[in-house]
Amino acid sequence: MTMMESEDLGRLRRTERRQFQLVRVSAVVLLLLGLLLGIGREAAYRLQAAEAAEVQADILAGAISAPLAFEDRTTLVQALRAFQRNPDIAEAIVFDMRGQAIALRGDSQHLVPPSEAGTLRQDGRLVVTRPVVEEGVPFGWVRLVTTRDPLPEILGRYLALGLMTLIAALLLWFASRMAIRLEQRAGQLEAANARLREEMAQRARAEEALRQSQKMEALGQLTGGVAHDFNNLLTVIMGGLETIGRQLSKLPGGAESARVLRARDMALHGAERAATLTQRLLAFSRRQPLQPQTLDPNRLVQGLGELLRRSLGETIDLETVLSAGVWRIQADAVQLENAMLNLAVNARDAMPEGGRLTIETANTALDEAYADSVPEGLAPGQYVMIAVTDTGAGMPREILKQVFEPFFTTKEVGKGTGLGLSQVYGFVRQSHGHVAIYSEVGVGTTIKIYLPRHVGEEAEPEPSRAVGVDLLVGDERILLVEDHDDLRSYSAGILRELGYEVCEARDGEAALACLDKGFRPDLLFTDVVLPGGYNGRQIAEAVAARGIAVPVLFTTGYTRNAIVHNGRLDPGVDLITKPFTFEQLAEKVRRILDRPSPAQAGPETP
Amino acid sequence: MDTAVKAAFITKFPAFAQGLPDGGVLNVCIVGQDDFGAAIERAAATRVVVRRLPAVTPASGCHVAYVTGSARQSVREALAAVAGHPVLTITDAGAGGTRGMIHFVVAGERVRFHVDTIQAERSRLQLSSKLLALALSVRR
Ligand SMILES: Nc1ncnc2c1ncn2[C@@H]1O[C@H](COP(=O)(O)OP(=O)(O)OP(=O)(O)O)[C@@H](O)[C@H]1O
Ligand SMILES: [Mg+2]
Repeated sequence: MTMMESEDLGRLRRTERRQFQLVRVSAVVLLLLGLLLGIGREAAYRLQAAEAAEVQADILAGAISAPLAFEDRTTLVQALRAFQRNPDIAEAIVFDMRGQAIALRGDSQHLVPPSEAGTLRQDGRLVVTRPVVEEGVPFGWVRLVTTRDPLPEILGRYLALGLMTLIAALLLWFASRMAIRLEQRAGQLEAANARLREEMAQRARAEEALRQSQKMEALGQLTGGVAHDFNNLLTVIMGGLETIGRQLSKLPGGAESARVLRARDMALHGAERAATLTQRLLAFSRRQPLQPQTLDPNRLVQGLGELLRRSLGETIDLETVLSAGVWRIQADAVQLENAMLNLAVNARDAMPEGGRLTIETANTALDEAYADSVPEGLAPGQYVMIAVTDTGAGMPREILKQVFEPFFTTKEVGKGTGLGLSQVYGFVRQSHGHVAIYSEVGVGTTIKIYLPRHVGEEAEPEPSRAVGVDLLVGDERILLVEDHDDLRSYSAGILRELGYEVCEARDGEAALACLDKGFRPDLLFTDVVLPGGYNGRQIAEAVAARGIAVPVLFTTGYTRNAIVHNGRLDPGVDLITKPFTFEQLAEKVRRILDRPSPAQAGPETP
Repeated sequence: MDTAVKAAFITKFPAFAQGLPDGGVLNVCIVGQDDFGAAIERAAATRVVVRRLPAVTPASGCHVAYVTGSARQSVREALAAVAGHPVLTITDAGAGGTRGMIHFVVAGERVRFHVDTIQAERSRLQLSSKLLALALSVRR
């Protein structure tokens, strides 16, 4: 594709214009020249005609001087007759010194006595008056009146001029028309050029956006992998710390053990913080297991109010504009709350002098055109928008482009991790939504989260029962599949401590070997991603295939796999996210085991 | 009537004659009976001085001599006196048959004239062909 530079185009148009100007000027010059020539010719013709008439008059004057002087009327009249026979001469008149006219026609209009010689043009005729003089002695006057020029002669005289004028005018008209048409064409060309340039700019923008999204994808892969490993380690660390705590509490209290306990608490705190970070990383890489539930966005925002107000501080007003009749959405409530909190904290940081934070909810439709402009892909349709707007510092364009990248922060080291918006981005994308950000330096920032409308029955969230750790013990059999050795022993340790009988397996083969040994589990607790032939779901299927109906508890920090459809759990599948604590695992296991089994509850709706 | 016409003619003849001495004023000499009074001066288109002379000589300074014969000088004598000198001589049929260069006659109620170019040539005067064309007769 070649594109003419606008500079070239401009130069071309200027040249064209100059050429047309030249043609136009030439035509005008031609016209003027024609006129001048015509006028000159006409003037010359008239002068010549006048001179000829004057000569004629002089000849007449010479011829009649004697008859006039000596009053020979007969001779005079003869002379006049002879003159009037000339076709160019309409009238010949003689005046004597007293002004008395001698004319052939009594009704002539030219009988006014002359006072001096002269040549006049009167309605197309020349009227020439000359003195009759002999040897300096005046005897009177002669007057000749020429005939009017015959029409063809006049036409002949003006034809050339007329033609020239016509041609020049035609030329002018033609040049103007051509100029107009060329101008139009140039305009069209320019418009097409502008369109092309606009298209190219658009494509460049689209490519840039695509690059950005690919970069995000690559970053996601990278961080996701790292975060997954981290999660496993953190689970072990936290498990170890918890065991230490539990063992310490069994020892008699003393200054020593109190110090160790404090150290353990600090270590646990750090590990928890590290876990939060890993969660955010996983969220960004869209590998965080989500537990979506049907939510009323307004209720969620209202429920967050107190927490937000507390984190925003005194100087920032919180305003919520909640549209009535906002649709339901399906999302992980905890993660959505996290996202909102991240946005609120960002807003707070952008408004150190105070300001206003507005949270809006509204129903909206994203059309095909809009969806197409999102390089990461977005399905057009109905969405609920949750917008968080601040009156803070805003961001310039360069920063705006990068805010969703993990670890991008403009905050001081230790203050910002650069993972807040990454979590928002990853979570919303994983929930099939879309994030849009608008910002103007010095005015503020709006971040809009779009989450797809949920249509369908509402699965009531399971009421969380507060149970004491003491009540979480059991003696059921649990088949534990985990490839990470430390993690497996950590989990097995917890479960055994709680009283459960555990068969440990590092992969699918080993798990089936447990069954072959006659181990009849009441619960299958398996990692989702496993080496060897089986993944978590396949193990569950293999167990079920052996006629053993058993509930399954999956665990993962990394769920980009079979168990999670498009990053979400199938409804009814239980999952515990790594890293988990002693209590979390105890509670989860107990809850599943205490649930009435499907066989007892009767057949479920298909 | 005729007198006025003749007076006018007398002033006009010099315009048709070549060889008369130049001068701002036309000297017209009348030798003989003068019927004109102021008619000549009135009729003239140029400045005219009319002198009545009993007799004319070459030294009289006349451009035109209208000769009808006086007591002192007959027509013939007058003509002979200026013959060979550039004086345009005019005679009148009413004063006898002797003819000068121009000789007035009244024919058919009109004043007309005869022209004698021989006398004129003798006086080295050239009479215009236009004048000759109007003459009743021309002697050459
Ligand atoms: N509301 C806002 N107004 C102005 N700038 C913002 C806003 N939200 C985010 N930013 C900019 O985007 C950057 C990235 O934000 P993000 O939440 O991802 O990380 P962070 O806030 O720097 O760190 P953390 O969230 O871990 O505290 C911020 O450092 C800030 O420069
Ligand atoms: Mg932040």
